[in-house]
Amino acid sequence: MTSHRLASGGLIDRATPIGFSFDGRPLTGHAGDTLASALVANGIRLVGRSFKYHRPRGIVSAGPEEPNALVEKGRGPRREPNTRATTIELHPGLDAASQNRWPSLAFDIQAIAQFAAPILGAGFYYKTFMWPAALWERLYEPAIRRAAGLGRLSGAADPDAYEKAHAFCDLLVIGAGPAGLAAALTAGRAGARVILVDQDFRLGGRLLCERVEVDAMPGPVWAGEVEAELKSLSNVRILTRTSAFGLYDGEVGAVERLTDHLPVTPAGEARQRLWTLVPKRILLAAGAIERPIVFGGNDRPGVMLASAMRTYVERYAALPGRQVALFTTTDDGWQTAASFARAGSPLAAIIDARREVPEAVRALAGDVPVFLGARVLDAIGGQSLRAIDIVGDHGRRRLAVDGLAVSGGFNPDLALTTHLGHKPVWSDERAAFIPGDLPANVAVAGAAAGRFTLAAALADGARLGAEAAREAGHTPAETPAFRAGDEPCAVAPLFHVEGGRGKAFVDLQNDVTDSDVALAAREGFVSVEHLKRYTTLGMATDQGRTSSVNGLAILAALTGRTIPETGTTRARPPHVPVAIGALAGLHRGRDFKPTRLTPAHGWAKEQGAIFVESGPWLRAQWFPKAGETDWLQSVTREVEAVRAGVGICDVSTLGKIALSGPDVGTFLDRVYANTFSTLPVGKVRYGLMLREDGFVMDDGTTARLGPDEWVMSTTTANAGKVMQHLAFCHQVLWPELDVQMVSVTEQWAQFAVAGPRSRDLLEALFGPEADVSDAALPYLGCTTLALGPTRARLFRISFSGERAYEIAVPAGYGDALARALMAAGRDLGVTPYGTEALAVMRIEKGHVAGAELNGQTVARDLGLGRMLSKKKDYVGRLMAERAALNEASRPTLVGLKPTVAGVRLRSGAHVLPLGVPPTAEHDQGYVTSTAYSPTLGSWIALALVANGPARHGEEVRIHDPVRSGDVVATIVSPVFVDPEGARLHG
Amino acid sequence: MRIPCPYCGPRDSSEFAYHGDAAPRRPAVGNAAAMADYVYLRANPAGPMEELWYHAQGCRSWLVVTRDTRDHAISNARLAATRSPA
Amino acid sequence: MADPVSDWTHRGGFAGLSRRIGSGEGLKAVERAGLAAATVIARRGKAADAATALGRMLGAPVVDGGKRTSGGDVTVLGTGPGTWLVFGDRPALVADLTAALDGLAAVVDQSDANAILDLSGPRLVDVLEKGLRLDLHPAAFAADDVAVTAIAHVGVTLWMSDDRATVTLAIPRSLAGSLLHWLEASARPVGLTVEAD
Ligand SMILES: [Zn+2]
Repeated sequence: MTSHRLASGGLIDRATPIGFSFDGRPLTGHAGDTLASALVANGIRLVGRSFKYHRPRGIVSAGPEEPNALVEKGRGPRREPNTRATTIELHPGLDAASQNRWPSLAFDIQAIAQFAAPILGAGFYYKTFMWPAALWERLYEPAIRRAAGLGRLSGAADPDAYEKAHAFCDLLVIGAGPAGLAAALTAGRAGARVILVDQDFRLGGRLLCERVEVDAMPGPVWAGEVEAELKSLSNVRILTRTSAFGLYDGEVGAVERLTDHLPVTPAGEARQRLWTLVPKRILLAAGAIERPIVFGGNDRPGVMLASAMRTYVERYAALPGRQVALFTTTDDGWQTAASFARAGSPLAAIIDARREVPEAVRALAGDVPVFLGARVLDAIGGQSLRAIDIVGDHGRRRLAVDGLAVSGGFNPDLALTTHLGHKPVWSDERAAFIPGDLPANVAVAGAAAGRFTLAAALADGARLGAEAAREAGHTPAETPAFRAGDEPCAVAPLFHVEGGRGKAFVDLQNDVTDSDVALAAREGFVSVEHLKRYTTLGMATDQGRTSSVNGLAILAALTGRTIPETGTTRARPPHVPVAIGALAGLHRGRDFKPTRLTPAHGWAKEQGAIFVESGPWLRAQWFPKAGETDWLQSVTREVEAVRAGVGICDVSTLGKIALSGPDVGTFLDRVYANTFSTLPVGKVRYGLMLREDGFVMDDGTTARLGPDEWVMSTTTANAGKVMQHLAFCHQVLWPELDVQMVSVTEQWAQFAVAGPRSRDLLEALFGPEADVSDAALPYLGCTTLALGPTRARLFRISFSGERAYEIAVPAGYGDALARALMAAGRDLGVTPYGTEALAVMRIEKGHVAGAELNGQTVARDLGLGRMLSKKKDYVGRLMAERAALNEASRPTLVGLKPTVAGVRLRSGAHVLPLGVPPTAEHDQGYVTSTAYSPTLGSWIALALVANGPARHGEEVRIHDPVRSGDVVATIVSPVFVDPEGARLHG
Repeated sequence: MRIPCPYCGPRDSSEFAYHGDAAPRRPAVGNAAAMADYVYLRANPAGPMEELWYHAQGCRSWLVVTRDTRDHAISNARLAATRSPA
Repeated sequence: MADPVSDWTHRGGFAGLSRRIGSGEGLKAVERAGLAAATVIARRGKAADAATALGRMLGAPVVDGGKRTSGGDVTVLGTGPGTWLVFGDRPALVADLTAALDGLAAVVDQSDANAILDLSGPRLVDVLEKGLRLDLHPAAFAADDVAVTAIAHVGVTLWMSDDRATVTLAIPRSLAGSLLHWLEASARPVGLTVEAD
């Protein structure tokens, strides 16, 4: 048996010892322990060093409010810093290490910082490291981080998997203490769908830590019976090891720790599950957290919350000290005296700030020395508490103790109720913030509502559980009356004892003292929110659970205001730390967003394609051939093959929208800048779509395959946006138009067939019966033809400037089409080409694409001004006609050719006149797209240049400071190849 | 946040795309000043506001949703296509 | 002249993606391939008439709402106001619909647009709640309800069998791999079998 483990009692499994290590030291605990309780049972006091002053610190609490006992848990990539020892479930092989100390926990050189305390006060960083700013990154921040760091990240990728889930219920009960259990049971019995969450691994809350009875059963036994009944109900779901961390609009976020308590994560299991809980009603039964009292040396290891001391004794059978005194201002604190007495280690003394204490409460102490109307002025000791100085009616005296239990009242855990901006209110009677204005579907029960007795908690739970069930349409048989006592729970508030010699800490986690609060007040930070930001009080993992109210109360006293006048404590989610991995779930790395594959993806892969992300799609970028050593070689070959023969390119990713209905023509006239109502059947037209502000949104073609069969194509990148825009135009702007439309992007696999031999390939593909002659299918014609077991759509359109077609088949035949095109074109030397060759050819041809359709260009900028119809209204017309958008000085599309052959141009480079310094005032535009043109044997570019069309022939400077580029280029027409369009038809 | 789509029922807000104030109506042809207001001018009320949302991952309807900008409480949602013309 | 092209194999969205994960028993996913499909969108003001015409074709009443109606080999799913996604085990589905809905609705062939999975097995609900942001409890989702929603950013049309034992997902076929990534990760602890066409 370990040194401080009681011989009997507690809820630990004595038959299951568990080996673990702390700072490399092998120790033993039991199943049912937390890391903190196992450390207490092993007599370990010193568990960490404080954030700013590196003072020795011990365990303060037994729950998630723990400000001190933060440890690094695990090793290697699984090392997790700032984990609260009080919430870590002990498991075999648990490897924990203290933080923030060097070289060792017992001897920490930086503890010297506490002697420099006068300069480390509130606002220290703001005042000291203000200037010069340049030193921040190089000097201040690394130094501060080294000194202050709260644990270390592993630096390695998180090896664990995480998942997300949604669940729905009539009643969500947060907290499985007496109130929560009573509510879940009442609502569950009535048939309501209930979800009960608790951060602990065992249900019961305070019932597990107190010597109380419910229905004549010991607390843990009653909790066990309720749990068994709840588990038998199919309409109740229990989530243990689950922290509800945030109340959002209509939902609660919670994180379930699935494997953190297991020695080894089972293969395939997620480590944590992020729950989005969607309840009709929420019952917050999260209990209350004991409030410490601020006095000199109150951070010495051995000073602990009175209720936490009791928890260690009653639940874990671990004795936090052998000579323990109690400093209280509450009735509840005296229960700790009773616990210690039962454990055979009566308290050394009770110091109660109150002069009068009810007889029933006094009886809890037995014959322990009691000092009423007294206070603890100072706690004395280094790495462990040795003595306390008390002051009172009997004067001052020093008591030798090794532990001090402190009870300053209770703070209901209301954080979740404040996440949507609602404020709790201060109750003088209960010396606590209690629920005030609450969100519509939220109720609060038990200690969280400031009703601190067991009987009240059970009654609250039963009543509110029944209410929620009724609201969900269920009839509770009857509201059960749970039998339990109303234990004494009076509080006479005491937040702060002045006059001690040692540092008095308000916020242990952030090392904020009473003097820091006073300094902040003197400097005018008298609002609670300012106090928090100036001193960091209430920040970090404990979210001020033990410090906020004390800070507020001290600030109130300093400024001569009441607590309500001074402010309230409001929290923001998350209430507990949540791993980023849990928030990401499955969606990390390449799986951040889904990936779309074209029907012929497998074929392209077989061809050895290199793929590139294009919006959500993966597209073949180029198809390297054996012996090719660099992408440019492959791309150049592909371009030359198309321009000399024939190539095929998968364009299935283009957005495709089917339109139907009597008013399609009218509709298209309103959404396109050019006219479509006149488009005959069997024809395709290029169209330009504007945003309502006049800028270009997208371009593409629309084909009319039949009298009532239209199909629009969009760019790959804008497919979703255009569909949404068209739906907006139809449903919001012109619902009177009789138009039907739906995306058919997924239905059709589509290939471009381009090059002077493209028609030959089609003849081979479709066979002699099909007529694909220029007479039957001229440029900008479209038709449908039988192909194998299906029908293909054939469009004569071109992006490359060559004779070209696009052929579409149902997606299930996409793979077959690719193979058929390759087979049909074998004798023609058909060459698959990717997006890179596609881009080279469109740049050679001066066709605009994503880089030019960048949201900052109007049609005129792109040389497409003539497309804007003057005969009709359409989206964007009026705004596009604004004078400023039609000035010649706007950057306008041109081509660029370097004056020295072989010099490379780069996108993003700036265009400047020759002979001027490269400054913003001389900037005349920028390069949008570049390519090596095999046809011209030179790098070429498209650019947007002020007065561009009037400057053909002028030499300009292409300045690229980011990549140290500085070349001279000639402004030319953006159409580098075949400006007459002869190849398109021939 | 869950938005009560009149067609689909209550749905997670991540299924929707937000557009903004539903009050501005596209002006009749030719009025450039009114068009500039329609494109750029927005009220920013603290309180209930009619907004346009698109149920992109659902029924693909544009909705007029009445949402209180102070607490996100949604009091009404209807199909934009069925509202009366401006 | 090239060799004649003879091999016109039709491939479903999940082609080549069959797999067995773990015990394979928690969830079974079977691709339903080869169904014809069409989007039916009522002409302006004709939603009720189009529903009636669809109902006549099925021999069961069809409503303008998110409901499933089955009749013979045809299943009609309400996917939006005046809009239905229709699946049928007959090659002439699109032609039949076009004839039945002449003047009442646009009919657009979508036979190859979707990849369809029938999901069943003892852990069906547990796996679905890891992706679905919808309440499938009988109190909230009737057996003939249809939902157009998303799982792991993948748009899905979801419906179930009358006995609720099979949940069917129709997704854009280009996203079949991404959906399986979610399914595999979510079902791994309970075991998954995927039977692609
Ligand atoms: Zn909807």
